[in-house]
Amino acid sequence: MRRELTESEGEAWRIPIIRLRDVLIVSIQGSLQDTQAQRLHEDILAQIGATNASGVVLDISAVPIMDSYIARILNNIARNAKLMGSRAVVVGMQPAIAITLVTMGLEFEDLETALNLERAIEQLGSDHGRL
Amino acid sequence: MDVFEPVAGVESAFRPWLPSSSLIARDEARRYSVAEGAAAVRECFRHLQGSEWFERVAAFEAPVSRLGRPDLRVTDLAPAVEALASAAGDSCDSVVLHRSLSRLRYILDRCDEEARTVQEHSFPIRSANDISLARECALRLARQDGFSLMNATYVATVVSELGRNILHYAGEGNVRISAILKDDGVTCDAIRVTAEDHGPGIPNLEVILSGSYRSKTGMGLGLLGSKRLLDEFQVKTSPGGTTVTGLKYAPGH
Repeated sequence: MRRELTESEGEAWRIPIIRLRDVLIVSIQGSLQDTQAQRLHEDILAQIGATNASGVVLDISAVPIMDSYIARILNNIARNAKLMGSRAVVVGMQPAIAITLVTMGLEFEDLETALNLERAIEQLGSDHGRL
Repeated sequence: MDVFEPVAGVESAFRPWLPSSSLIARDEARRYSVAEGAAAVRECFRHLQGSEWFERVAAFEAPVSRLGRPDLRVTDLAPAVEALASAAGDSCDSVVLHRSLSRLRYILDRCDEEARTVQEHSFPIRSANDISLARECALRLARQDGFSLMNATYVATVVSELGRNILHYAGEGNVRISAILKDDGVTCDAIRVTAEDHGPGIPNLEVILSGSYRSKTGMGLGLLGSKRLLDEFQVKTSPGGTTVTGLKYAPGH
């Protein structure tokens, strides 16, 4: 299923990861391509390792469509972050996407969510007391 | 919607206050594929390359490179044609170029007719990128036909799931998105999504649709999930291939 990224594809579509103290913030704009999602997965884990970030906030409020594959990648990011001792929080899921994913019967055991970026950072901060 | 670089003399073709006879106004009525037009535009640009006008149309290389997209609209073609026309000008002595320009305009006119009759968008699925294109088209089509954002999201998600199944299990195939019209020939009654492939078929179809199946890769929910999102759902599968047809009713069905 997974194919290797070509150099240009990976670079051109890379989603920036912003570091704020010990939290990583990722804002996904528009439709998330498969290659982007795979790249993001790898980048986030690498960043967690490099910065010892205690949490990752994924803002998906600007993502119009999300199918089970992309949803699973988000879940995997959260699962892997957890394994590394960090936490991933997804914020701002569009109502239509939430309804679609639930109607399809998808489950997200590993995914933490918050209403918005502020709440997510509070959520991460309250547990760690460092923010 | 893609935005083209404004270029003097061509820019005006995009202004929203154009009369209703403009290509944009006509195109707003319906989306459709104009692959033939795209091929003609590319052909024209090939003639232009290496000529003295090429400098003037270099800015249009980007729009032309997008002409291969299956969800092309007439507004994607119009600027390229106008760029060609203005680049060629009156002093153009290339018969071939003029001929291809008039052919282009002919195709553009005919596309408008097709807009009223052709309701189907076909997407060959060979890569994840093809799925994105089909998905975006499905979303726009559903929204244009009056679907709520939620139902349009359902349709687009189904296209995405079925496209993924094709890619994962069959390698390649085809996804078609079409509007089924009411008797008046104008109003959309439902959107139909058809996914076809010549893959190995689905041996455990009943188990998958019963919901008790879960593949290790996490796939497998695509088919059942699609069924749950739609109003009508049909799977025909054999060792020679699979055809999945799904229907989502339009509001007022």
